Amino acid sequence: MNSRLTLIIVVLLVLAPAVWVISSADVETPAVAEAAAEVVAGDTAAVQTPPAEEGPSSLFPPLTLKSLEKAAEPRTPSIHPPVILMDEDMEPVIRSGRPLSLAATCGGCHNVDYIARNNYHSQVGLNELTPPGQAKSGRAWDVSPGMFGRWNPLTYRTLSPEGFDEIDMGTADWIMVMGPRHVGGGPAVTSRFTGRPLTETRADDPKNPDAFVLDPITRKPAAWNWQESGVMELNCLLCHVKDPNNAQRVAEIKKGRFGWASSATLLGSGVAERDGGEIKWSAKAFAEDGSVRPEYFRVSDPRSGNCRICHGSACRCSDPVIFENSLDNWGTETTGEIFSPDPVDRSGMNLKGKESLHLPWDVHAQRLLQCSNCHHSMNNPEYNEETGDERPGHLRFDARKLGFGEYLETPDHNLAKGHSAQGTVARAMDGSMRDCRDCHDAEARHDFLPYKKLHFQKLSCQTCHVQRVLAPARMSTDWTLLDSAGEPLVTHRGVRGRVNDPASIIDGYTPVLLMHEEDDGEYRLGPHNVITSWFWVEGDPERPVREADLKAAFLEKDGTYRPEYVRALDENGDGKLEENELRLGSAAKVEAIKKLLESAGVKAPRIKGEIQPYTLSHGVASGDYALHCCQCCHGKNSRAIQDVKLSDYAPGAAEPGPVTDARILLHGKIETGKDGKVYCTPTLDPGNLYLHGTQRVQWLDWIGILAVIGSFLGVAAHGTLRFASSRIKKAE
Amino acid sequence: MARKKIYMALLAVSLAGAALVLGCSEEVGPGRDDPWRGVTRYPDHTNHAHLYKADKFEDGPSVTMACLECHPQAADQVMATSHWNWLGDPETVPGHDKPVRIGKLNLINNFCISIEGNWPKCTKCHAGYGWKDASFDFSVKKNVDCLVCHDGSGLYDKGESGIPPKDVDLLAAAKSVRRPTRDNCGYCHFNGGGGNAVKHGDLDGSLAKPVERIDVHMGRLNLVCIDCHKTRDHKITGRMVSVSATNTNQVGCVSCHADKPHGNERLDGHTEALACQTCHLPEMAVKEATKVAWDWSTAGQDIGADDPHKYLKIKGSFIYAKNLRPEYFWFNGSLERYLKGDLIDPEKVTQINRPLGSIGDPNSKIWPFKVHRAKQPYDVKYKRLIVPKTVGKGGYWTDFDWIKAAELGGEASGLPFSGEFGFTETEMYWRLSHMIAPKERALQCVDCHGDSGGMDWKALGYDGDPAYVGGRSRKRVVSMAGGTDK
Repeated sequence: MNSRLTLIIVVLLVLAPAVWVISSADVETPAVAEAAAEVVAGDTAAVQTPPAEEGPSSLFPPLTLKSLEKAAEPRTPSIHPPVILMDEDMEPVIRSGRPLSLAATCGGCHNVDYIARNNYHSQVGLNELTPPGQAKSGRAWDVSPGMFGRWNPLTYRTLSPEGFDEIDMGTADWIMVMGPRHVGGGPAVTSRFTGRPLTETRADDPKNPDAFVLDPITRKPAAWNWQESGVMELNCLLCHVKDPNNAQRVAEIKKGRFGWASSATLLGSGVAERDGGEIKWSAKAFAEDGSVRPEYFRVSDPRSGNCRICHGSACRCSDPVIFENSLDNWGTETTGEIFSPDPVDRSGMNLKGKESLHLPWDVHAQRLLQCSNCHHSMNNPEYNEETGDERPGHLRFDARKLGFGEYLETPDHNLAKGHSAQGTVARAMDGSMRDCRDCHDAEARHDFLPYKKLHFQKLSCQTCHVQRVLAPARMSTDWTLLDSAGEPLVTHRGVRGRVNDPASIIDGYTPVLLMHEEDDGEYRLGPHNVITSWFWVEGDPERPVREADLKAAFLEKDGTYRPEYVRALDENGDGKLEENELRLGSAAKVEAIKKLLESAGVKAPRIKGEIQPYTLSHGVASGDYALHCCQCCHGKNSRAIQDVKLSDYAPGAAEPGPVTDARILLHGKIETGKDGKVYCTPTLDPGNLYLHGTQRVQWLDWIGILAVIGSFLGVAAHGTLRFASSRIKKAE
Repeated sequence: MARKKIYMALLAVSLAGAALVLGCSEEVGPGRDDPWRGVTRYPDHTNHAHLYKADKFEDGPSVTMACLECHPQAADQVMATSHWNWLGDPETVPGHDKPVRIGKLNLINNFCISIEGNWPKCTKCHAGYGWKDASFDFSVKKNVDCLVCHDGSGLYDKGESGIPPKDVDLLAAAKSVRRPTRDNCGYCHFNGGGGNAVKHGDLDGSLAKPVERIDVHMGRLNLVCIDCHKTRDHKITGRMVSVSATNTNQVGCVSCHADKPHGNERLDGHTEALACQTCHLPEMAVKEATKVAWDWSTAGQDIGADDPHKYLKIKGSFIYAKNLRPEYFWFNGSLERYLKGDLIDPEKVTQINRPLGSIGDPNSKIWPFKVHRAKQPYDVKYKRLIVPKTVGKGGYWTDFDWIKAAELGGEASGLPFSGEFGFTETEMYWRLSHMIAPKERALQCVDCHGDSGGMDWKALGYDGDPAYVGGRSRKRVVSMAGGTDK
């Protein structure tokens, strides 16, 4: 045995026990400890259940302490009277067995007609319809500023106009596609053409999108039977009961059973249950008069958890917080905003440097604010107050308020809104909510900040208080090609690796600062995400190529790639499409795909790019975590002029342009870099904003230089004269 | 020249004034938080490794005698403390007329119930040697156990009646003596109730070498017990609410921290109603599960298996839990105390040591507690809790005979047993002060207030959530015009 071998054996003998000790020690890692904590116990109530450990617990005699019995969950008594759930014929559903009608149920006390009319969440553009091409978005195919009629490249499908050439989305299609994020009522009940209930629509005109839907197989119109489907009524329960069953509601919508959507919201509460494919009302939950027993049904103000259903992660929905990027989680997907009170460092996400992120996802959520505290009903007397402009100068407080009774009868469901780039619906209401400065006296703080007033005049508060977004957000959507799942090619910013992959590290992103027009007509610099989308358009006036046509051109009926599609994109000739091949990076590829589209019936397809800004207003950090460094804005590396990556590539070398209804000055130039990626390099217009240290004003520079030279010359002349005079004095 | 002197004098006065101002500004003023000023810096401890002439110590008392050669006052000092006597100073227990001395020696709890009749097992943690029955002589100096607090070898151990097992190297222990560390205090206090983490909820073995997540003072700042429990002449400050009833000898956060240390009006306002621990101790039993319920009535069954965290034939059924949110009560420093022989209503839950205080008591603050709920034996005829003998011959743990255990325990404690027993529910409160979380993990607004707060405000005497209805010292009236509190 040589000495080297002996040495190795000795080292192994020494190290082995050490390794064993280390591996068997209870090494304290916060994440592991955290997870364990969740398994064992949560609150006092949880102690009644012995910790989940090995071995059958039934082996041991159970404790017989009465004091351990869980106290009933404390509930604030509801002032809402018992509710008799009724069908559309005003019959209690427990007797008729028919779908719940909330118009009939709630309409006995509340003015549901008023609520439906004054409700942009329900109208979503129905009351703001314009002829095609005249919408403020600048798109030739948009007919409103809201979800009903304003195309969105993320959801893609286009609402077909009256007299359509080729149907893409009839009204019933729209409900099935957009209904999961629509509260019902408005265009889901009323015809945009006649103003009459959709149930009166007759399928006698094949160009009427109210009466027809797209048959995805034939790509032709197919008649829709509203009598069978019912309409999707305004769903009061979605916002006014705790934990409504949105999954079941969506399931009914997707099946085209619109009339049962409201009823499905109560599945799981004990009021209704599924019996096969049907929804049945549970007798045990109803009193003799047909009202629901209070323990099964509780009406309340909307809580953040209700808003979360459509707007994204916004509640104390899980502990630790876990979220997913998807269009079902709209707010987070488009902006990365999470409106949750929980600390970031205790989230369940794989965040870079998580252990040092001791801040809540949103400081307002942490400090008890619900969404409805800012986005309140416009005539809620609790919040409604004349502004200084409206109030006579001599009056400090106007005691005349809408009574609560009157308010409860006619509550305005137009909720106060801010002014965001993406909130294009009901623009007339922009700025109707209290903004930061209506609640906070910014002047009373910010002692570190010079020129406070100027900063507050030129910057939105979010510029510093949403200095970094800690969740991924969508960066680009490429509909010019489809992946093997028939989905567009999507990229995100703020994540290293695939989004929603637990192994990917989320490092968040620094928002781009854009000049945003606010209510007072001032442009202020504020944080945004920008989402760039690429898609094919056809025809004149142009409209997006239908998703059905894309699928017909690229995919077989079973969803696999068509061989022609593979041949057009397969660069290495291996007969498969890798991720890097799925992009239109050459003219040859563009031409080949064009031909495929044309063969599917698309006329003169061409690629268009569009940039949508999304204003960031949530995910607000307290002063401790706000931007404090002057150089972050004032300097050569100012975040106001940093390059912003828009997309990893430009399909067909198309140049994207901004939408025109975002109230944003997208200042700067958009160009494709040497790396093939598309960037926006912001520049600031000194006419709107001058950032010293960042921008140069030539004449001011010259004055400065001359002042320095003048001072130097003055000192030199003065010194020379003093020296000369002293010599003269000495000589005398 | 005279003018120069005047100038010099003026300069000296100015400098002195400036120094005075600077010196004063170093003082801890209102709102100023300088906690290190409250921490004593000790000089290095004398190395005792070469001080002993003997090459072996036969027993604990001979070590003590060696210690007393150089520290002649030490035994007398220790013998004046509750660590030796297991009794406090005379105090008037709320609900009782005359001042009494209470302590582990004569109190009933709802864990192993009482030491009376069970001395050898319980006195393993006595700071002395040989307490095996009621005849223990508390005046014998050599029976003081110096090593349990001062051993630095980590090899010292105590057996029944506090006597070290034969194999303990007493000389090595004596050579290693030093100021008490967390290990020394933890030898008994981490193992209260007969095992790690059983009793307190905020004291267990994880505090011996904690990470800051478990305790920020010990884990991040490396403080030891005596940094807060300052000790003079072997008298250690601090008190346990399980063995005392009046508001004396407290150790508090404000010994080191300012009383309004947050630099935030809203948070500082909370200090009027909340103990610091209420927010800064968001969870108890952070790492090791603690016992939260004990049902003696199920004991004695032969089920063929024991699990120290679920069921033991000798003790009955348990529940252990960790990462528990404490329970909150108003507390003014004093407690009701069930004393041996007090009458009970067996149909109701007997409070062993209910904290006193209320929303209307300006001296009360909301404190976090661990509540240990139990079902324990009582005398059906005399309507009082039984002191059972559990340890040794005739004890319940040997014979599983409650009547015999109650009779023997009655003899030992002077509490006659009628012969008829039942089980009644009791609750015991353990104030929480250790396992202080880093400030980043302190409770936040939503942890107590709003929809997800989970606090029972009405039980605490509020009309509703004080975030909305106002605190105890004022009712909030919001002016719509100014939006200010009046």
